Amino acid sequence: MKKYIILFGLSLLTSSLCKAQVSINTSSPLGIFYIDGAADNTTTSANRFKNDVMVDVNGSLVLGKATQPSVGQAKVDITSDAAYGTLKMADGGEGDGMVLFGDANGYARWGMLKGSGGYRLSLTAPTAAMATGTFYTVGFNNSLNYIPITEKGSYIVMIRMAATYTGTLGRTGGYFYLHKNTVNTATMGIDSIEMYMECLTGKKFSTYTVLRALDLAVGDKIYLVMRPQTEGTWTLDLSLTTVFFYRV
Amino acid sequence: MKKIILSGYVFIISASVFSQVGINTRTPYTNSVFHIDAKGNNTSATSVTRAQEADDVVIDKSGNIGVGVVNPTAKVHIDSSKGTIKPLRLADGSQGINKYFFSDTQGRGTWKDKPMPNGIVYYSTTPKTLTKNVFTELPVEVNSAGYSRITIPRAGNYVFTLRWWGALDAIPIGTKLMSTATIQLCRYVSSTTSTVLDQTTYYTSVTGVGGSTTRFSFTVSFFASNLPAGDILFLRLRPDDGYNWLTGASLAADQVKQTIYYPSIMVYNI
Repeated sequence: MKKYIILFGLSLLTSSLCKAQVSINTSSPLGIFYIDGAADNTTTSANRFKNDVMVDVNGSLVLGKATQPSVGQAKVDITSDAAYGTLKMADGGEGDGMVLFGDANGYARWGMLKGSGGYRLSLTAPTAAMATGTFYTVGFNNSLNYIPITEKGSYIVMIRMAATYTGTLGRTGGYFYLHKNTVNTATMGIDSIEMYMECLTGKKFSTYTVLRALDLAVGDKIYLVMRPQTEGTWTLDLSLTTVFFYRV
Repeated sequence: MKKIILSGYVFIISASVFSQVGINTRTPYTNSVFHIDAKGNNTSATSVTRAQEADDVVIDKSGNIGVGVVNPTAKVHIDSSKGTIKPLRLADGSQGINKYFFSDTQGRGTWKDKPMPNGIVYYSTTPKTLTKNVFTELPVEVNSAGYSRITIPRAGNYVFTLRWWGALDAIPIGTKLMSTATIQLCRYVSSTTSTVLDQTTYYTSVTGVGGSTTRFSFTVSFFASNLPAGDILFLRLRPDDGYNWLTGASLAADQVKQTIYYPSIMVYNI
């Protein structure tokens, strides 16, 4: 059973004769539906209208105007005194520098534009010593063991790493691979490099390199795989091992 | 049709059973929980035309808000295709022509200029001693337009690549060690205050050749996000290996002013 309810505010009976006007917390509503969030429209506060929400005669949703609005300037019209104050959208892709993108159906998402974003990932794995000749897919602080691709494009993976070396040669080498979607250690992946580092057993060494991932599609997953080789074992210092990821 | 007029208090009670609230309509849309028909032009609870829904605001059973649409397919779904009113206006003082809407870490957005790739390499030709166990700021007096620090030209996320070129001081001939420094990317706040934006400790194998000519080099990058234009940054380095680090040491007279014999810092937005 349907109910037809005319909702009146707590203090008012202001429904006009020709139009149903509903308000909450105010006796001087505008539009069709009006909420005075802080019930302060009768005060002299300069901010008294900024806590108001209205649906106007066109069916537009109007929030936060500094002066009492009679009609909105867009279907959804949001005003804020401060940057980052109008709209919050959490879809998993949000992050410093991400940009609002749209698809063919008008759905919005946060994505990475060349020159606009890029982010830093910390490593969470492997935590144990990495054995010579063994492949290790690293884990990231995004709770994944890959980097998710949300925008079609080409990307750079920059690695800044420190690890403790245990061995006898005083020099170690190791492979760094990027694999797309599945880790197939029988291949070199979509990009790879072997790095050689002079080192001392029981001491830390650092290395820094850059890998590329070209022409990725939305939904692709990029795995970073490390393999110590010739010779010794590595124990990553996770606090000093960082990946920068950005679009080029 | 039955008409019920209720106060706000009673409405809350009545909401404990499934109910619909319609404002300015006798036919709230069947899939909606809350339905405002601004122009009061809907005629059916089950069949709403595009023209009829253009002035409607609904909240559906999933908690989705529809503006100009009674069947929202996103948490906020705006349809302005029927009519001349634009879909969305976000005015926070940062709005301007051709701006893009950027997220912060939490998904809150604001308007900024279109990102423009930009980059610069900062050099130095000032010999310095970087005293062990103490942070010393790396000079960038060449290419920084009279500034002693890095000024961010446009808002954005930036990579700072340090290309170290220098020497360990007074390391005995033949001594091999893992030369170590903690390097910090800092925001300049005042002459006594700065904020660390990124840092690492870097280890490089060095074998001593004596004097001040035990030279070594390495490259490492730092990252800072959401930097505003005009932000002032610098890199500082603290030798952690028990030796002083030197830049511009033991150079011939014609080499002293060559930037290649000093650390340089490449800065670019990503």
